[in-house]
Amino acid sequence: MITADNVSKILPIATGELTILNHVSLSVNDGDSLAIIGPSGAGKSTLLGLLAGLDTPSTGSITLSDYCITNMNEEQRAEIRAKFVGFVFQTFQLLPGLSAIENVSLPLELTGRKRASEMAKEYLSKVGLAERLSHYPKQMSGGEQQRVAIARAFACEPKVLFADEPTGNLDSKTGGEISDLLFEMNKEQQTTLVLVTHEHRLADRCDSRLMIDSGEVTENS
Amino acid sequence: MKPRSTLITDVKTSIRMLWRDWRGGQLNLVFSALVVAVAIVAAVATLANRIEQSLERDLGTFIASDLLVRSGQSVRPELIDIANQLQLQTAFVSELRTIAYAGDNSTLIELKAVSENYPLRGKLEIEDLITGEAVVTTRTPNTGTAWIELRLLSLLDIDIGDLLEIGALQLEITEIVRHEPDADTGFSMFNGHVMINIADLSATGLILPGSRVSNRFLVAGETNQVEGFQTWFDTNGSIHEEVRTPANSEHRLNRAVDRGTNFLLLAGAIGVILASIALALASQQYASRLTDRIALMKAWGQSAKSVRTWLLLQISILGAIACVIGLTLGWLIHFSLATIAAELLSVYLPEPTVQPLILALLTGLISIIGFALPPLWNLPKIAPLRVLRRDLPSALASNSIRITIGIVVIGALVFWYSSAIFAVTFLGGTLAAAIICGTVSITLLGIGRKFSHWSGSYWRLGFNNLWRRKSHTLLQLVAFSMTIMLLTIIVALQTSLIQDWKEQIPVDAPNYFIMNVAEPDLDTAKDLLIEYNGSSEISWYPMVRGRFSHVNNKRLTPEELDDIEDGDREINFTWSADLPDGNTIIDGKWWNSKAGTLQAGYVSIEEEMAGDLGVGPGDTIQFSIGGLPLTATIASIRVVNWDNMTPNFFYIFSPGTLDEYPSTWISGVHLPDDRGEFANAMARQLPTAVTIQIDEILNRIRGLIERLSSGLELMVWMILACGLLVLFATIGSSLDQRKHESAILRTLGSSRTLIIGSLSVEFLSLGILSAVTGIVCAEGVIAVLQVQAFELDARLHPELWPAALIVGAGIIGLLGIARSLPVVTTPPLQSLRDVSA
Ligand SMILES: Nc1ncnc2c1ncn2[C@@H]1O[C@H](COP(=O)(O)OP(=O)(O)O)[C@@H](O)[C@H]1O
Ligand SMILES: [Mg+2]
Repeated sequence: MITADNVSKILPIATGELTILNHVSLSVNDGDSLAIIGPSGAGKSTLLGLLAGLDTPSTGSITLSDYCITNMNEEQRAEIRAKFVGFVFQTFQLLPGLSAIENVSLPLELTGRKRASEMAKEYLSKVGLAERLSHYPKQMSGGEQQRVAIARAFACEPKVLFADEPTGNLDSKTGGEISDLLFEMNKEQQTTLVLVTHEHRLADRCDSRLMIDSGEVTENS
Repeated sequence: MKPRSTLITDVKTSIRMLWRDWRGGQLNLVFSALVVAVAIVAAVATLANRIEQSLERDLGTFIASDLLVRSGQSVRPELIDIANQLQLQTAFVSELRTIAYAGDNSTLIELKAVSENYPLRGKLEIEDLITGEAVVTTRTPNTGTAWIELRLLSLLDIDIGDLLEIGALQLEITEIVRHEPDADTGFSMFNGHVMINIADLSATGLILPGSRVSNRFLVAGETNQVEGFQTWFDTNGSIHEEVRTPANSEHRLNRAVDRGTNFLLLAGAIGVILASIALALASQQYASRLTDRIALMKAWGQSAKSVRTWLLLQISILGAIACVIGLTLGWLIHFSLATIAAELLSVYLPEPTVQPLILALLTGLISIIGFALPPLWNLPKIAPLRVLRRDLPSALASNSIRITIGIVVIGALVFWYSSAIFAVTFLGGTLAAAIICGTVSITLLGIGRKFSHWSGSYWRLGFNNLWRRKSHTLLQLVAFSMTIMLLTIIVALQTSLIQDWKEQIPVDAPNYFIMNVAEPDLDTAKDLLIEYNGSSEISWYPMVRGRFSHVNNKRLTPEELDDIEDGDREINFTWSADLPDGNTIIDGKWWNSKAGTLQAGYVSIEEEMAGDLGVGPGDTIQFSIGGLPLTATIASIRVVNWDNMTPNFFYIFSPGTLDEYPSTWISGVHLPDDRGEFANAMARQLPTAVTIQIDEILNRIRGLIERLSSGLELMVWMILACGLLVLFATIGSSLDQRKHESAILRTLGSSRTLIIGSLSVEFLSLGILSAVTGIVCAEGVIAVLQVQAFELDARLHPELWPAALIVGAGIIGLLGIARSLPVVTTPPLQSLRDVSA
């Protein structure tokens, strides 16, 4: 269960204060999916970052898997992220010097898991890249790169997956394939999914939707 | 779920990450800079260590050993014991002046009795009795035999196989000595030399109480053994004993060695500085490439602490490997250089000590701490939010902190390698370079930018680019001009050092010294000289031998005489109307020949001697010449250039002062094609005159200079390679950004020529600007170094300016353009992806 209660993010700027998020509240049940939609600059990524514990809100509180992360320090939040959270990004964020399999096994290795390589191989097959294990990001198309990123996220078996515009950099056909894959894996692993998108097609597949504009919730369905 | 990470898994993880970065080529520059830093120090220090040892040894040939103890009494058994304990090689030499008889003839000789293993250093040469050529021998005279100097044959009218009578002993003449390594090269070598076996010495009956015999105990061995002996002697030597080492024996060569060593150290220091700059730049680049990865790792929940552990482990592992490879490489470089040098110059280079290797390892460590770590230091603190917001600050340590650390570390390194004066000059040079660069180049850039508005679009774009990245441009300018400055310094110093050395022994330096020519024989000697191709212009100096007895009418006590150099023996006086070349008056006045103020009764004294005696102009000194007193007033104090290879004198009297005393004449002449014929003719016609051929000494010194010069050249090449590394790293530091921008420009439809043109403008102007600043700063630093560290006269080096400008600007321009060229040849989309990925 993820909840946000009256969360605001206010940044000091030269001319005073900038309110990026204004009293946002939401909740997502375990295994459910939530789409955050809105125009560019609305504050979607900011909200996602707060929910994932990458940043702290100015006011309000957030719980992630029943932990209140708003009162934690960065080290404690890091521990929560390591335990529960996975990410997929708009720009894929694969490491250019690492092959597909190395990119997937890296987070597993970092947490000291055994059989990291086998797990990575398994997940790469699941996303349909069994033949491309040793290819480097440079040698792959955008869609393929995002598949690697999805394999990487799910290989860690997170309880919650945060995806920031996972199809934003892809054409609509590839984007469709990627969202299919995302929901398939989500269902299979019973992951809670929070995704940011401005594609209604993608948002419609989620259990609930949160529309924001200029930091304000305009629709919650 | 998550196993506790142990050191072993941390190490494994670090190695894996390191290997992947390595594979991707991201560590190439960091690694090579580290390797080069360690290799340079290892090579320089090892080579310097060996050359120094070799030079010291070579100098040792002037005393035929590494160290000798001279005494009027017989060698104390303790000395021998200690030498044996230290496993030093030892030899004995005794010298005394006596008379040798052959039939009805007799002459004063210098008798030298030697033990079998004489000499320990240098070579003894005798004449091959068939071919007449000099050959090296390892033998010494057998008992009952005498080896003599060539001119004794005519002096005594004898031949090989004849008998020579010395004291109570009759010896058969078996060999002619052509060269003794420790032969006196001074003007005291008046008499014929005779060498015998030391076992025969007592049988001559000449060793009586009061006889003036000089006993020498020679030792040689590894440096630490010799040092051990010296240390023992320092506390246990007797007052009758005097230690001589190469260092206190030959003034001229010492200076050459000092400067050579200084230069090697300087070269090493500059190499390290350049490698450090390259390392700092490369680490910075590596760190900025790590930023995204670490942000990602932190988003995945890795703590700052584990990230830091991994980074530290990675850099330690990398450092360890680089050190090992650097040491090996340095060793190989030094080894091949040393082998070539040893073969080419047929010298023996002693084994190096471990010290240079330790020095190299420490350098590696310091470079890592001072240059590789600082840019990485703040990386673990990077905000994980950066995975979503790439415009967040990158958490790289601030430039000013890193530059401060860098300058401090460089200063410490230079201080450690060389000396305070270098360190201070360098830091001064660096700051000056930075400040001058900052102001001058930014001003120039601004002006260039203004003017570029009226010129082509390349110029406008190029200058705008440089201007937009002002702080980075400035950093690059400083790095470039520092590099050019250091390279210019090293080349200029090398050139002026070599030139200075070569000037000390000009091609027409006298290779003959003719001494002891009696007044009536002078014309014969002059005629002979002309016959053998000498010029009639040659200066002859009259020489009178005497000692001093009173200063300002006060008699000098034996103790006082002892404190004065040569106070207890006869020294050479001359008179002259004109101040000889190479002499400079520092106090008082020279008697002026033209103004007609020539007056008898005055003397001009060499500066150090005057210091020993504590006298100045106006004081009077009384001399004793052949028992007759002579009083003279000091007219002036002179500084003498002892290096100029012409006869030099401590005392020069005004004309007329020495007229009543018996004088002989000396001269130094240059007979270029002479192979000893002149010496033979002199020996035949004027057997009482002494003719010393010093070609060999000259050649030996020239050989040394050659050797030092080629050593320096090799060093300079290594340093130039370092410089190239810096240029490479510096250009690399802006490459990502330039590529990105060019790719965007390409996407927007700019032509290739525009992009290449503007890149050329950028890099060429960077090159020219930094070459100019580099040269200016270099001249400043060189001036200080020349005066302070090398005791040379400061001068500018306009001959280097065009080269520095062309090479600097050319290399920077070409390297920069070549490395950014892929941008215009690869499709823009691919470049954009490469850069942003
Ligand atoms: N650290 C920050 N400093 C300044 N402005 C910020 C910062 N974080 C977010 N913003 C601003 O807040 C707004 C919302 O940003 P973001 O959450 O990235 O929007 P999006 O909905 O496009 O993901 C934007 O206008 C952005 O410029
Ligand atoms: Mg966004």
